[in-house]
Amino acid sequence: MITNLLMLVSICLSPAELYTQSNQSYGGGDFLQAIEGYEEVAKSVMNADVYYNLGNSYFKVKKIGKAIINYRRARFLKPRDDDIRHNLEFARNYRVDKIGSVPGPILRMLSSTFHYFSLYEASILTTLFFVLSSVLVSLFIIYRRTPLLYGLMFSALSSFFFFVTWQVWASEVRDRPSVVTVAEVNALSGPGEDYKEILTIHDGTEFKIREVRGEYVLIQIPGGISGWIQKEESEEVFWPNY
Amino acid sequence: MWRKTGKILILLFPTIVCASELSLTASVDRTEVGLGETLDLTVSVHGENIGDVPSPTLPELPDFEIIGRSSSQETSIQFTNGKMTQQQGIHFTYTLSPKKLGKASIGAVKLEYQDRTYETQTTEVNVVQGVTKKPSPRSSRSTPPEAELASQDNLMVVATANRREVYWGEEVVVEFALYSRLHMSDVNVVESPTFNGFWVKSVYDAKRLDFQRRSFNGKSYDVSVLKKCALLPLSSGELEIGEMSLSVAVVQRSRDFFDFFGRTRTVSIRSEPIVINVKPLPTENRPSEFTGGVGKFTIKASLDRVASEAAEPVNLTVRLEGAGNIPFIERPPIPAIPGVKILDPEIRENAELVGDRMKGYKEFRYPVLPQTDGEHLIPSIRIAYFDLEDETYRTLGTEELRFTASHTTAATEFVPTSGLKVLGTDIRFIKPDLTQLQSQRCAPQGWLIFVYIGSLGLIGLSLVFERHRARLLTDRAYARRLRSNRMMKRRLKQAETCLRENDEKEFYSSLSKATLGYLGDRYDWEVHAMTKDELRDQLTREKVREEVIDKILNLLDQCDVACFSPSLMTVKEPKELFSQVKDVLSEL
Repeated sequence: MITNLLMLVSICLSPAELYTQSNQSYGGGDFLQAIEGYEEVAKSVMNADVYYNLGNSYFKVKKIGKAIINYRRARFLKPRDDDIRHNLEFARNYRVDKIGSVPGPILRMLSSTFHYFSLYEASILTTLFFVLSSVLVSLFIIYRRTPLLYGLMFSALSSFFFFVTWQVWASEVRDRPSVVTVAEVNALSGPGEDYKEILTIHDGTEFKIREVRGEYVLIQIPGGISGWIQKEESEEVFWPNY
Repeated sequence: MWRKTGKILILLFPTIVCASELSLTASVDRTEVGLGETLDLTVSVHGENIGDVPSPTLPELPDFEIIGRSSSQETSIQFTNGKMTQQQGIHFTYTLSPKKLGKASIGAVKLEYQDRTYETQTTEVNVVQGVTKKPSPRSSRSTPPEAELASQDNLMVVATANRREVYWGEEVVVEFALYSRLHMSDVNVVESPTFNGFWVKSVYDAKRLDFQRRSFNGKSYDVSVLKKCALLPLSSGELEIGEMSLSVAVVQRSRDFFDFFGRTRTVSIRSEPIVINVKPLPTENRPSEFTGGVGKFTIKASLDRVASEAAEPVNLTVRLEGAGNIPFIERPPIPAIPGVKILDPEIRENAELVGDRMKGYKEFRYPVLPQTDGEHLIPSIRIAYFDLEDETYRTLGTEELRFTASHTTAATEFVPTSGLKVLGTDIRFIKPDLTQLQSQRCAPQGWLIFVYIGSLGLIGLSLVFERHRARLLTDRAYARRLRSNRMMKRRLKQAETCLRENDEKEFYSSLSKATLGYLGDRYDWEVHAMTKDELRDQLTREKVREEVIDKILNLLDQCDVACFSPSLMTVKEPKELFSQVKDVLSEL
């Protein structure tokens, strides 16, 4: 009853006010109340801080899968935030399934390099350096000065770097990463209840969606193992229209 | 015993008539002797006809115990000048056992004989710890010759404890030794002693029998220590040290001379159990810092470094040193220190039996993790033990120690020596409140595509421009054609100016120039060198319409007429002519 009343009150609040109110709930230890508030804010506003705090709230109520989803959304918007990265790693350590090996140092360095700028930043910066490169090319065609070539090289490489960053994010989004949000799921060999159970995965396990058929999705976990699970047993990290 | 033999010997040589000179000497078979070993003091009397000589008087021997005596005699007969002289020597041998370490002196041995006193020199002997060497064969000769198995005194295993009444935790040293006066061929341990209720530290376990001469109950034995342990009582009350039983094969001397090896007989012997009375430690006045130590200890605390960078651990070592039940001591409680985390200690200990006390040390090495920057104080660590000398509890305290920590927050992860990985204790806290909550853009903007097209267009434009400029430099016709319009306008303007100034002749001339110049620029001709007919041909070739050509030529004619013979000028307004030229040129 009280919760319903609070819900009614909260609907009338602006997103910023509701966010502040949820922060207070979190601080007071009422994580479920905080989750409701943050979810409501997230419907209207796409903000890394909201997702981060929502992830924290889910983690506090031991919903590791939901926490990972929200941390990943926050990281997508704010990839250079240290708190987000730390808590994402922390939540991942709490998963039941420990799939895949820790990548080597070179791969990790590459990954962090190409996740340093967000998708939006990368797209803007790619364009900016592309325009700069074009101007420099034009000027070189007309004036034929060597320093212009150096500038062109720098700007073309920058543009290329940001383009790669952009594509890394884009391919990540295209993979439709999803996370298991229920305690335990048995993956089947086909899209239907009658198929054989071939895999058991737990809350927080991350995978890619390869195919959708009715109520079932074909998932692929790192390591190449795949199976069919029901749609509502997992949630996609990136919004349908991100 | 020797007195008897002496008498017999004296009876054998009864013809001692006159007193004569004799010599008295004292000698020891060795000058260095181990404590527990024996030494033979031999007093020799040499002289003629000394058969009735009494036994010498030994001086006071405070450092020795006399554990055996024997004597022997020798006689040599010489014939000098038809007279027989008898040289006799009597040797009195005393087996001595030293009582204490250090220099020991054997005083002068006195002999009174026929109203004269003879004295020997004093002899110095050095008593040392342990075994020096095997007793000389001469002393081993004094082992009891005949086995008397019936007597239990000749073969036994003896358990000795250095203390019978102790406090809880006070050490008891137990020794099991084989005492023998017999010749043995084999010794087997049948049953090892049990030490119920004790913590046992074995000090010595005999791997082979190593005999030493020792006296016991007034008799001399060959003694070999079989087992030596230090025991720490674990509970109070009466505790029993179990017995040790042995089976010994004893060689029996055969009476048959030809039975060279003799026969053996197996004898079983066992030690007496020992009861130790263990008193509990007093409960009254027991300090709260008591950690189980009994004995006498000193304490010392140290840090391995005084400055810690990036939350590096500092090792706090608390070292207890002294005599007592070192294995029983538990770790001292360390008070909670704000800003510092103390992990479980690494414990090292070493305890050895020195004399009858266990001595050594125990070290507790605590890794100390600073969690805040600044100077940290480690307060005095207090430990209490029970002092056996005073039978009271004593409390020891260490000095206060200090160290400084910096950049503790830089290290989020700490890997202790045990290999455990700590990933922080919890997730980081939520983000703070915001006054304005704005949506962040995440998808690339659609209009970016126009920026790309524009950029590529720019490059295209620059390419076009570059080509045009190159053509201007190399293609004269192109350059003339490009500027033809501009030139024509300039010339027409000039003509207009002339018309305004009513300079009719100049007006017609410039009008003609404008027309011809335009044609020349446009088609790259040398118009001034052309006749009217040539002009017509060229214009036809450029596919200009016939009527336009007629108009142009007509106009040119009119200009020429007006210029050179104004009298022939048909009535035509100059303004009309000007507009006609403009129309025609624009038609081209």
